[in-house]
Amino acid sequence: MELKIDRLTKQYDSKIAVDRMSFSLEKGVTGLLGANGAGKTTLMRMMVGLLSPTSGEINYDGIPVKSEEYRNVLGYLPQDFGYYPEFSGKEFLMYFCALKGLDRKAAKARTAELLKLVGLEDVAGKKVKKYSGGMKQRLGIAQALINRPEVLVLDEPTAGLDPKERVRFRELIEKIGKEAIVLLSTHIVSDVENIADRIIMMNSGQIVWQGTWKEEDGSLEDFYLKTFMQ
Amino acid sequence: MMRDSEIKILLKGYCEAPDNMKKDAFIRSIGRKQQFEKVSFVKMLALQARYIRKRMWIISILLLAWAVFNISGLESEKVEIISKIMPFFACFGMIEGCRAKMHEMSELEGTTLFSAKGAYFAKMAVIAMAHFFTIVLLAVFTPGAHEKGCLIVMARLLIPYIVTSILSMEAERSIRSCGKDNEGIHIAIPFCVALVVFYGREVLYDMHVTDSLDASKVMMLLALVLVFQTIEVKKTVKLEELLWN
Repeated sequence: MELKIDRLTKQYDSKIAVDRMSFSLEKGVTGLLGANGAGKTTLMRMMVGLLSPTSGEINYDGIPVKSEEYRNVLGYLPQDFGYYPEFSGKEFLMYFCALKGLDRKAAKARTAELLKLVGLEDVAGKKVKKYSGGMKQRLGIAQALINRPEVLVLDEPTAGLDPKERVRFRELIEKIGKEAIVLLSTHIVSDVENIADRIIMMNSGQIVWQGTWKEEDGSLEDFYLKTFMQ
Repeated sequence: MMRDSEIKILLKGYCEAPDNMKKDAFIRSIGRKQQFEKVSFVKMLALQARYIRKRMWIISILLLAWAVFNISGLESEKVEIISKIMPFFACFGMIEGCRAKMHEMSELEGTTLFSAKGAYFAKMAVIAMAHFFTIVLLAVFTPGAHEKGCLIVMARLLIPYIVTSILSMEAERSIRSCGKDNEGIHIAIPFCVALVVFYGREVLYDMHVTDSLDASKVMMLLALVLVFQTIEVKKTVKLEELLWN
């Protein structure tokens, strides 16, 4: 299980959003840290096949990221996402179950399972437009898990979650990370400090540091601030 | 008779076993292929049809009913009256087709089996087929249609419809490439284009251009707009956000 990024670059006119990044991801949780504008979202959009790189390659166990086979094992939560206003929480998940190839019976079962997992079973019939920010985010996380992904890409997934929800989310991600490749981007260090097996720090489209972080190494937040102050 | 261990030693000389990582990936890929079912085009269309809003179908039925039963006036003018509202018919189709973009769902749709391109074109195909079917029924059942010939009536209805969709797609692409994209754009553009086509058609009608066209010219015009429509579809497919995904 390996997601390989090789000399990946994305350039918009004169601006280089991602600059010759190379790394590989294996089973486990990888935290992607960086300030706003570092290129995290651009990198993630290329990794999920939504954006074409200017140069470089991304593939998963030899499968290119723009293939249907890759999308079959992919789960993605973007930083911002919408919903059709007429959808309830349940209908939203049923729609994405259908788009991910589940038949109706499997979709119903999976929807019920996921709504329970993210704590939305009591509001499943309520329109998504009436959900709070945290509830919408949990719904987004649920849709990313529909097809039991082998690759899970989460862009700022804890935005809008209260502290209790964040802890619950971290436990969920830790559990998923035992079986899948999870890439989680955030600028909140505490989100990844305890659960990430590996950390990548990004700035101006480049990797400025990557490695594992243990408790005895001290405060990750201090190191992160120090790295970006240099 | 060779022993198994001797055969293994002999085989090692001929071929190398893959390394553990590749073996593991290979085994998983077999499992994945067994679970993975390609979504057929028909299934794609059926799914999108299920999620197109009911108002789309209601508008088509109401238009048909109004055309067949309720337009008063000269038989010969009925076809002209119906062709005047074709731009707005196309407008509703375009708005419905762009809903994913309007409601910021296209990123999520783009990471499913369908892909953003697949979902968008499946939706547009279902709407186009439903509208085409409605136009065929209008061409057959509108009073006065048989005098002119159903094929010619169909062409007269299709031309403003297709012209509206061509201009809407062109305008949407230009706006997207400028990076100016918001929910209102996807309603405003098709509606403005429909108004332009409607008034343009009125001007041509007042100048006796549209009613003076004979059957062969109408069919040639239809062929021309179909060519332009194909070009527009190809240009839309080549948009970066759809090309890659």
